[in-house]
Amino acid sequence: MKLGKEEVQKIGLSAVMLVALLYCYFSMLLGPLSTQEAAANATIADLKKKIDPAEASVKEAEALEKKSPDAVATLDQVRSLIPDGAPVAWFPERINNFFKRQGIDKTAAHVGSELGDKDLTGFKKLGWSIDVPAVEVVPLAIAIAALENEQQMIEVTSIQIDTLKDDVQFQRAVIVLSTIVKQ
Amino acid sequence: MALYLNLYHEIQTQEMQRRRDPLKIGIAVMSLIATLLLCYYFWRLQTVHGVKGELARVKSHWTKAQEKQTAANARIAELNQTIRLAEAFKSKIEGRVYWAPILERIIRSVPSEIQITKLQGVLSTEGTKRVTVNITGIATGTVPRTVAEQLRTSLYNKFSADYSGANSTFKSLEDGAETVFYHGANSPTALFSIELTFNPVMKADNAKKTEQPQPKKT
Repeated sequence: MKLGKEEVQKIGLSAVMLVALLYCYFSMLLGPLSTQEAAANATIADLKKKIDPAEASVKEAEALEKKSPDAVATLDQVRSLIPDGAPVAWFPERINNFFKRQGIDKTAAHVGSELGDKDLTGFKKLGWSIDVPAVEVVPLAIAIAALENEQQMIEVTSIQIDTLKDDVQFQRAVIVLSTIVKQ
Repeated sequence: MALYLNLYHEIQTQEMQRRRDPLKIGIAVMSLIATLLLCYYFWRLQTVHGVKGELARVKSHWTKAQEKQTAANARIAELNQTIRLAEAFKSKIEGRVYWAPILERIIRSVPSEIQITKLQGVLSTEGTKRVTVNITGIATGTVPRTVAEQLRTSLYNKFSADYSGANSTFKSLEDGAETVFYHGANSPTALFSIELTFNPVMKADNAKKTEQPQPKKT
C-alpha cells in the first residue's frame, strides 16, 4: 500500500499530537505529582527523625520522674531544716539556745565570710565563729558531738581550745564552722 | 459469463480511503493512550493523596511530640537539677568531718602527767580533706620528755588505727624552767608541741566502700 502525500502529512500530524500529549502529561500532570510525593516523603522522613528524639526525651523525663521522689524528699527535708530570713537573725540565737541546752550558758556567735559552693544552687555556705569563753573540755566535746548530730547543715572547720591562766579548770574555746543557708 | 460493471468503484475507493484515514486512526490511538495515561494519573493521584494524608498525620504527631518534647526537656533540666542538688547535699552531709570522735581520741590519749594548754584543730578543705591538730602542753614525771613521747606515740597509734595518712610529730620539745608538785614530789617539766595530721575518712568507711562480694565456692 502506497501512502499519499496527504496521508503522510496526517501521520506526521498525529505523531506531533502524540508527542505534545505525552509532554503535557508528564510535565503538567505526572511531574508535579511526583515532585509533591517526593517532597512529602522527604518531609515525613525528616519529621520521623525528629519525632524519635522527642519521644526519647519524653521517656527520659518519665524515667527521671520515677527516680526523683527521693531527691525531692531530700531537698524538702533540707529546706525544712533551714529557716527563712537573714541567717544573722536566726543562727546566733539557735546556736546559743543549743549550747544552753547542753549546759554551756555563755556563747557568742559571730558571722564570718560567705563561702561559695557551685554545687549548691540556690544555697550558700556561711562561715561562723562561736566563742565559748569558759568551758570544760569534756562537756564541750559532748556538746560538739550533739551539734554535729543534730545540726546536719553545719560542718565544723576549726576548733581552738586554750587554757585560762587564772582558772585552770576551764578553757576558752573558739569553734569555726560553716553552715548551709538559703540564698 | 455475465459482464459485471461496477459503477460505484469511485465511491467505494473514497469509502476505503476514509476508513484508513491516518489522522482518524491516530486520534483513536491517542485517545486510547490518553485514557490509559489518565487512569495511571488517577492511580498515582490516589497514591500521592495517601502520602499527603500520612504527611498530615506525621505533622500532627510531630506538633504534639514537639510540645511534649519542650515540656519534657524543661522537666528533665528541672529534675536533673533537683537530683544533682540532692546528691550534693547528701555528699556534703555524709562527707562531713566529725570532731567529737577526734576530741575523744585525743582526750583518751592524754596521761595524767600531761596538761594540754592549747589545742588547735583545723580542717583543710582544699583538694583532699585533711585535719591538722596542734597540741601544746606541759609534761611532767620523772622523765617528762618520755611522757611527751608516749603521748605522741599514743596519738599516732590511736589515729593511724582508724584514719589513713596519720602522722604525729614534735614541733618542739624543750625542758621546762619550772618544776611542778606531782604525786608528792617536785618533778621536772617539759614543754612540747605536737602536730597531728590525718585524712579524716575513717578506714572502716573505706573498707565498706571497697568491699566486693566474694564468689561462692563450688
